[in-house]
Amino acid sequence: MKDSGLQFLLPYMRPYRKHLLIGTLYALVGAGASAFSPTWLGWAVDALTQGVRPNVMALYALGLVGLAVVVAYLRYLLRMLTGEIAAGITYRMSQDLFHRLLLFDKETRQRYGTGDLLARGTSDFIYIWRFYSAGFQMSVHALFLLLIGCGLMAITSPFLAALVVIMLALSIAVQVRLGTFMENAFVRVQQETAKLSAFVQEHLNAARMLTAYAQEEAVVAAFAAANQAYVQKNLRFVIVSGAISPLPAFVVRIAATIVVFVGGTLIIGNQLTVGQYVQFIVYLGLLNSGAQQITDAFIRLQQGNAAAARIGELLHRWPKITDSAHAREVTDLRGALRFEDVGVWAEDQQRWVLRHINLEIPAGTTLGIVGPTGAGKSMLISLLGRIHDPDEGRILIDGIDLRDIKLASLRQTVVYVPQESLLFTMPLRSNIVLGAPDTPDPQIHSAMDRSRLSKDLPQLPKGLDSMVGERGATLSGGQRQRTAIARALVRDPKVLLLDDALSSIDMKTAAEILNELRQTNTARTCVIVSQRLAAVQDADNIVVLDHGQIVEQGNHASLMALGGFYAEMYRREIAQAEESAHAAANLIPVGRGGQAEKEQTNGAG
Amino acid sequence: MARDERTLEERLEDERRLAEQRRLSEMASQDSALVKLLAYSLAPYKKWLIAALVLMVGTAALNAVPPYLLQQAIDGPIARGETGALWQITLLYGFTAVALFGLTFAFTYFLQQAGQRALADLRVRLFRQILRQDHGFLTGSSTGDLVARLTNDVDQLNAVLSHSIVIVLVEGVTLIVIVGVMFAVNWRLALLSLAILPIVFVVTRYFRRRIRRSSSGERTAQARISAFLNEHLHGMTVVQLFNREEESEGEFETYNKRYRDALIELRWHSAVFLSVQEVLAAIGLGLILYGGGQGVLAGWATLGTLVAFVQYTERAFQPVLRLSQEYNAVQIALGAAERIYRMLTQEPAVKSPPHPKPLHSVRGEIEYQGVHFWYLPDEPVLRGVDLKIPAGQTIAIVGATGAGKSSLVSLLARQYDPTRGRVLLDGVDLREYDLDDLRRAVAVVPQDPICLAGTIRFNIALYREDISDERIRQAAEFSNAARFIEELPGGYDYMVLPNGENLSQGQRQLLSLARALALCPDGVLILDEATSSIDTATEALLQEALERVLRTRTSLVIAHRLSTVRNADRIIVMDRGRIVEEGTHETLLARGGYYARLHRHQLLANAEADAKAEAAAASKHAAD
Repeated sequence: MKDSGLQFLLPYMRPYRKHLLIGTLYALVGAGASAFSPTWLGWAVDALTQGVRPNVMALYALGLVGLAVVVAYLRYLLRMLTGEIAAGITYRMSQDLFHRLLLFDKETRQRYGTGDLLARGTSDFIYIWRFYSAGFQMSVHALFLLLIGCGLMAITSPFLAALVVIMLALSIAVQVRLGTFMENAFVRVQQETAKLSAFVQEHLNAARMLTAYAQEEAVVAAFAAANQAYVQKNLRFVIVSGAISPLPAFVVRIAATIVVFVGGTLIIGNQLTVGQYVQFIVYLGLLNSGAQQITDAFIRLQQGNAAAARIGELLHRWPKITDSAHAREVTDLRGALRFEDVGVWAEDQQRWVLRHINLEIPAGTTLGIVGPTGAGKSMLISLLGRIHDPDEGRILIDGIDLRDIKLASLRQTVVYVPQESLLFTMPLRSNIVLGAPDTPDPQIHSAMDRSRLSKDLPQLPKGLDSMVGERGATLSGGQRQRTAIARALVRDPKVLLLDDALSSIDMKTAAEILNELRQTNTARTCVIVSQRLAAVQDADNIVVLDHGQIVEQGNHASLMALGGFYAEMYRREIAQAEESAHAAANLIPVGRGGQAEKEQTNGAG
Repeated sequence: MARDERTLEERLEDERRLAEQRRLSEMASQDSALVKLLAYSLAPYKKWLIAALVLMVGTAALNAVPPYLLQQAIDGPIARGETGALWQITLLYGFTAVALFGLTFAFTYFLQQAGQRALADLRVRLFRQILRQDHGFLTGSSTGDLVARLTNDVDQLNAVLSHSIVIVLVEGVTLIVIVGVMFAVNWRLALLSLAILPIVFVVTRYFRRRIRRSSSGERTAQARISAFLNEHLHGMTVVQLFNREEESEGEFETYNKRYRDALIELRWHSAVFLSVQEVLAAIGLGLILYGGGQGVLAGWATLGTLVAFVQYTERAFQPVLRLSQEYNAVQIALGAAERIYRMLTQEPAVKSPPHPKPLHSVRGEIEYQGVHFWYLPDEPVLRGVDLKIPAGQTIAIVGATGAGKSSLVSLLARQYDPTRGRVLLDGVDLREYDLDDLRRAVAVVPQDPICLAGTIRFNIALYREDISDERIRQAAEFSNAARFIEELPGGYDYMVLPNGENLSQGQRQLLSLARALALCPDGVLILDEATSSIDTATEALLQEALERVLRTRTSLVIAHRLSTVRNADRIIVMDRGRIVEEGTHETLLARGGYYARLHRHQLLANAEADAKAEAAAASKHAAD
């Protein structure tokens, strides 16, 4: 895991090799100047004890400022350089990740979950940014600072230097241990926090129901108990961390205590000057801040590494559904579809979702798919849109395996309207012409007419240019579905797949839309999945699925005549409607019978 | 032309000033919100808090001791060559280290004890307050926002309490003590050492402001990327199906570039700031070295004092820098506090009266008297509804979307109160009953059935512990839910996943009906029939249960099924906030008005199917 993160980062670092080299050079000079200033201060103090001309002190003071200017300028350069590297790599990787996400098929996305992918696409990049910006910058600077500082101390007094190094090593060890401990504890607290917010999320989602049943006080009591548990756990963490977080500072103070005593004794024994004494005391502070930076940098490097591994995993995952090497562009398809012994295996449920599906859909015909929930209807239709690929058998369009056609060109021909109509935060127009931005207005309006969306336009504040809220929030369920259908119709596809895409539209409008499709579908192959039989009963062919198998097949009349599964579903669905239709028919002329009668009279007249 | 330009400039200037004023007054109110919130929440834990504060001040004072001891050592034992006295000072030095460690731990302990509890209390109060709000509020605010209030915003307060306050207090007091000690030891060097601090302060403020601005720019850019990514991850299938990949990638690139530029801008501001800070610190040190050097040479300062001042000057920098660092965190917390405070002081629109009338057994007689209702004054939802429903009747409400059906029934459970007019239950205005009593007498079955994570039993009885297993079972049986429940592994102990993911839509609806029956075994039933398609078998079960349930009590049903409408005692047709027709199925059909038209539309498809079925049957017959 640890190496793998770096392995993903290395290719991105290649263009910055020169930057990295220059950065190291900046760090060397900057840290050198920084490490030299305590020595310089020590010299100044010694000069004082030996009695120097007052003006010379000004030189010492200016020297100190000069050193600081060098340090400041070089650290500025280093920070900007590492910032440039970090921003460049983050940008490039982020772009690559999004490109990869665009290739991921549904199954791959579902395996990770939207939340996980989103986290990798956002917060993980913050870690990668920090890896280079803070992590790299601090670690090189602090490393040089410690090395040069220790060297300078050793020259002055090897014994005292050894003491300081030991204390620094102790301090670093404590901080590293602390860092990992705190990190782990923090993760545990985060988990508790997540539990608490899951409680809040769930109950606020149900808030209206809970208040409707006067449950507020009981829910609040449950929440208070959950909070109590949270506080207990959290307090333990906070108290332990309160005990150990001042440890590094404590180690340094103890080190200072030792330096005060040992150094003092050495001066008394004439083995050390006061200036050198001061030099050591200043070093202790400076080098300790260096040690702290190294620890911080270490944590950031670790986090960045882990984040890079998470992102790298995605970057190196090939989606299941993709253009194969010999996939080709196809134009002018007629839209004849054919399933040959198709099966889909669900790994998580350990069962076949579809099995032995053989089906012929001639070009220009309409196929209806019905069956109980979980029968495999959605899977069947999504195979045609290549949302999934079959695990056995094959699906042909005009005799060509779908997998041998370039996805982009297949999707020009086959348009799939999913169950959930997905709209984006853009104007309505852009939602309709999604992926085909140059569609002329008349074509948009025609598609909107046919999907019965046009009549809603006056309701929208800016008509076609009205912004659609996040995921279509500003539209009703029916409007969303009609927009999704308009989006499909605007492309005038050869094959149109509707996956229960009319479920939120009222029956009258749904019937009108289906009529429109029928009128224009002479050259179009339609596949319609529906919970309502009314939507499919005019189809040329109807397939009844149950437990992943085709159990019945035929047109409405023949299926009714068969008197099997379909007829039973049909009977149930219209059981009440039949009754009331009769009741109504007694009172006023209603339904087709009445209309037909009228038409006949007209014809006779 | 020039004149126009000037007025434009003036106008912009005015606008800027106005915005500034608004911001200032907002800040003033934010400040008080934060103080009020913290004071209120911490009041029960006063003792711990005071202990923590005292210990913090002690810690700060001790911070000034080590340099002083160093000075004593250099000017005393070391100068005189007395190892014995050096021992004493060393011991004191070590003791200070131990004391600082102990005090820091102690104040953290006390502060956290008080803070964590106070914030838990605050979360509970906030949660209760949200649940007390009326439906208008709950519908109008996104759950995400409310969750953020309870988690993120409270966490921001926590950050202030456990971090910012510590820094402000400890560093602030440290600065004061150090300045005091410096003046006591050597006022000339003290003045010299402090000379640089005002500059540091001004420079810091200047840079902090710029850093804050660019960091908010960076956050905005990041939020945009996040929102874009979120939407695309949800809609990825469609992006792919409609070949929009390239366009989306282009859009992402724009956001990504903006983010990159924002990062670099932020980086630049902080890099410059840190470097300037480094130079300023060196100037301070240089001043002390030069001035102190003069002092040592002239005899008005000792070497030890000089060394101590070098340390003091460095130490005095820290508070100035860290205090300004905390400014940002405090700013964020102020916003959070203000939002929480607003939420806490938001009076729920629907409340129980101070002296409610008792509601023991409900007969279920309902009357709407001249009821007007709107969410927004210029968009009336109900426009004068008068309706009387005798006890035990079933009323079906039909009408187009937006006709006011849901609003009409929601007034009955006091999810809202009417804007004008009143609603009576058993002859008493709803607003005179206790809210909890009323809601136990009026059961609402929402269109979208909601399930919580927990057992089936929990999902039926919710948090009510006074409901026996027997009653739960009865409700489940009466609502036809028992059939599927008994087939589940564990039956009533079957664990339902969050959002009822492991139940079908139909099962959730049956469960929701069972819940209503268990929690309100008598009284009024309000039902918003589900439109979403469920599988035929469950649909039949639901249908059967509904017919049975509706017969037993006063019911208002927003009806989507023909059978419900037909079986109702009375049908109410609503259009644009008014009742336009009412009567039974037959009388309304005979009238040939709105209802008849609506009915015809709904039936069209079914009747067509019917005709076909007959034709098919006939053809089969013929074939035989």
